[in-house]
Amino acid sequence: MNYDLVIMGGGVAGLTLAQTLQDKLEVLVVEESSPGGMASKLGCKATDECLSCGVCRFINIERELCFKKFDIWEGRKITSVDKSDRGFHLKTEKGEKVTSQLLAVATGASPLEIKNLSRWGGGLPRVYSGWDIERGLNEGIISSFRDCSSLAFIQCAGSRNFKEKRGYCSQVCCRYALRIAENLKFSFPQMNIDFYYMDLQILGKKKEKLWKIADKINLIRHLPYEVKEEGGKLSLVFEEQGVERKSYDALVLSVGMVPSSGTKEIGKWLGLNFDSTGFIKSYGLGHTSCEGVFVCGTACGPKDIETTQEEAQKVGEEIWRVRRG
Amino acid sequence: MNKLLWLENEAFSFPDFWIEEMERDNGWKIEVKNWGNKPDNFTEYDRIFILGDSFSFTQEKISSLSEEWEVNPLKVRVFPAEEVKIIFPKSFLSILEKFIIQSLSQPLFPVEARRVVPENRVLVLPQLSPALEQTLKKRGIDTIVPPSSFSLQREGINFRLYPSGDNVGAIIISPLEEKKFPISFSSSVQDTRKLVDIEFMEKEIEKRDFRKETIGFIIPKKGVTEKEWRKAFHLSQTLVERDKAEVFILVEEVLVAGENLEKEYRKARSSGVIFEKVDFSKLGTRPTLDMRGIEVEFATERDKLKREVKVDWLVLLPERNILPFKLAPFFCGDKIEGEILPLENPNVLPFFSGIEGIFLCPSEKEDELSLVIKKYLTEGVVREIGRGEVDEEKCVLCLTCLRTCPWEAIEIEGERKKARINGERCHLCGLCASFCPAHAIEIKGLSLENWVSAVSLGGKNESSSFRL
Amino acid sequence: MRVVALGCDKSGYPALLRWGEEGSLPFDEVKIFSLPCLGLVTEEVIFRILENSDALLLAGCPLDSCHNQKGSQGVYLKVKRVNSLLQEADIPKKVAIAFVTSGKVGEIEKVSEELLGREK
Repeated sequence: MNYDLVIMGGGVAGLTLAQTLQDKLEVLVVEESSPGGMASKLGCKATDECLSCGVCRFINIERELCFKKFDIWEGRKITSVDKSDRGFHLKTEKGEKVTSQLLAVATGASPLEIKNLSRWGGGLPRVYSGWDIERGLNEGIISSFRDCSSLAFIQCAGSRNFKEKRGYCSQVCCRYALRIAENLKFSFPQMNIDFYYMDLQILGKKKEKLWKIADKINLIRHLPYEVKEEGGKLSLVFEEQGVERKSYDALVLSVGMVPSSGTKEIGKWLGLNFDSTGFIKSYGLGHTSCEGVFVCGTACGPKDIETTQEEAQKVGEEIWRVRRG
Repeated sequence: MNKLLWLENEAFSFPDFWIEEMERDNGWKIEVKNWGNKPDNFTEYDRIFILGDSFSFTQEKISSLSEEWEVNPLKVRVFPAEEVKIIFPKSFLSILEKFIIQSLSQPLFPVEARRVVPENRVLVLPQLSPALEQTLKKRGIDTIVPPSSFSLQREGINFRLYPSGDNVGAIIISPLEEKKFPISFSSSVQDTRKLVDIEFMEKEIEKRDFRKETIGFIIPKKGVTEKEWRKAFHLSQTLVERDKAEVFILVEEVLVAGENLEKEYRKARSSGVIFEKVDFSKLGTRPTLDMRGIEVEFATERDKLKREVKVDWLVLLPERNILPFKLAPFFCGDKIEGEILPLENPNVLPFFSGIEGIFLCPSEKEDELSLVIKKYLTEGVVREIGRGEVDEEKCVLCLTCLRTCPWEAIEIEGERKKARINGERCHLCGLCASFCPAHAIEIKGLSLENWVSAVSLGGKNESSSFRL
Repeated sequence: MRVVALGCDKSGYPALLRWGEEGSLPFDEVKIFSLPCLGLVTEEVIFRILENSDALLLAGCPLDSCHNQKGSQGVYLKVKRVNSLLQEADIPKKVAIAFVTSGKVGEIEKVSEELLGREK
């Protein structure tokens, strides 16, 4: 089987790239599970007002999928990638082989797992990862917080930490935490919400609204250094002019994203240069250290859904420019 | 004899005898195809039924398919086959049959799906910035330099400039920004001439040394771009490392969300730049006695202690806000509100201003904007001509429709001066029809009778979903 | 309770379809229709639909996110008026609007609970 471009990964980045190039090239998207990636699992965070989280953008992509002019192979992992003078040769776990002139890595990122973050109570009951809440929004996870009278968000949990090789900001956590907080406050106005953070990163659209949400909750510019379970509640310790201890009914750890296992694997197989943050290094407009291989989406660095789409369109333009010669 | 086309997706396959039975009972000729082997000529069918994936077939999509197939869009009907199959597996066929009968009973007004493509030229107001010029050129979009005084009027999907008569397909508003400062400075502080902006510091650093001097930066939390933060990290680091100067940066929040930005912040900090998080409302400044410096008084968040630092230079980064752009002076269209502000609406085209064909360019997004504009100017839009009609007998010229229409599709014309819907501008939202006090407007195919009869489909004790 | 649900192409209809897919709907009978924009809905239409059903559930874009900018606003005012007329005339039928984005099924659930609550 021969294609002009094989896109590895069928999330927002991969599908947007495919849609951008479908009229010009023969494109194949290979996706490990089902199309949509991380974005398709998150829920809408509008209360009575849209909070511009970008999740509905995936639904627009989904709508166009039945008119697609590219091929998708879903439910299979790529088991090997080789390069020859005829192009790139890929093999899937189902034994399928495909050759392509160009490759695009759109294998994305995964949320940092909280079970190892014991410093912040990862693994304790009623300690949630922000991503789990986002993924549970469509099932009404917000209503399960009905019995919480006080709740705390811990930002940058596991991130912005050079020692652990995660010395970067994932760019989305402050915003998603504020949106979740707004949903909680909207449903349960009496809830006390404390927000432990370092610096508020408010980018993208609806900035004013997000700043207003930040005014509604208690901002505490310290990160706790210990979280314990005590008497059915979660107590955390932080330092602010002395040691302070506070207890909550639930905690939300706003964790960032790390390169997915697919991103790491494929980057290694192709011998691509990685950034010091662990993501595939992009040399501008999706170029990687290997000629003929492009990267887009969260595989080359954390970003939000809107930026992912914009970037994928620009990388698509660049791929076409390179292909035309 | 009605010739019908059924377009199905792979999930369905109708046994031949089902189709034969339906053909016999109703006198129809049914052809079943799927998207993989579409017919070459769609015009020979009386109706086209799309079975399945009803949520993908929005009004816009049907318009665009009708244009592609060169058929009257009223002939294309969507039947939510998946939902009906799951909910009524047994009466699926009879519901489909009833749906077809109902569709055939609706009159076919002459409606044309037409692709309308704007002129490949844009007008940038108030001024074309170099960044915008470069990216528009890169994508092959022509720009026009307006004369010093001109006015604009709608011309279908384009805009026409008067008096020159040139047409443009889109207008880009590159709004002016106002610079605000979260703190105010007394005139005596400003007289020291030591209150500078970052561009000044950038140039000065090239020219000379700041050895043994103390430089303060004040960076607000809102309205400062990523580029400016990077500059601040970079310059402050140079000042400390190259010139052994003392540098304080007073902030409320530090921006680290950006490519390698956290690294740059860390480098600046470890080189010796002192970052302090302070409450700007408690920040005060005074000129030094010799008027050669500024004394900055602040309380750090860390220890709440008041501190005073004497700086030789105070670099101030402003909060940039977009000023609403007043379009009314140029635009003699019927949109009375002429102020353009960013619309943070996720359901419209990116950078859309609220008026079709007019885009707002936020700073740093010139490249993304030109990509969107390129697509708009190349593909245009598909409109259904003849779908919206005003009954001249009933229209009393109250102008409610004109004021309500979000897309400026209502024109007043004709000998008797009545409202008319311009099909090239109509988006079929139906607001005019629903607000008209005389009930003079009808959107063909979306009338009251359709709905009432559609609602009675499916019978009692059944749940169903249909597209009107 | 027999309910007719109308959703706009952009957001209401996809959200209603998702709600429908999720299984048990709390009403005896539900019919879901789509239209290009809720702006098309007039008071007369609402009354005619209510002739053959007990309640009408409208789903459209949030007020500041309407694709046509004023569609949701227009229908919101009409629904308020219809409901007050129905109440005055003591007719036990209701209309409700859910402002949703295409994924927000929770809001439709909330509004349908309200419809049921009000009916009781």
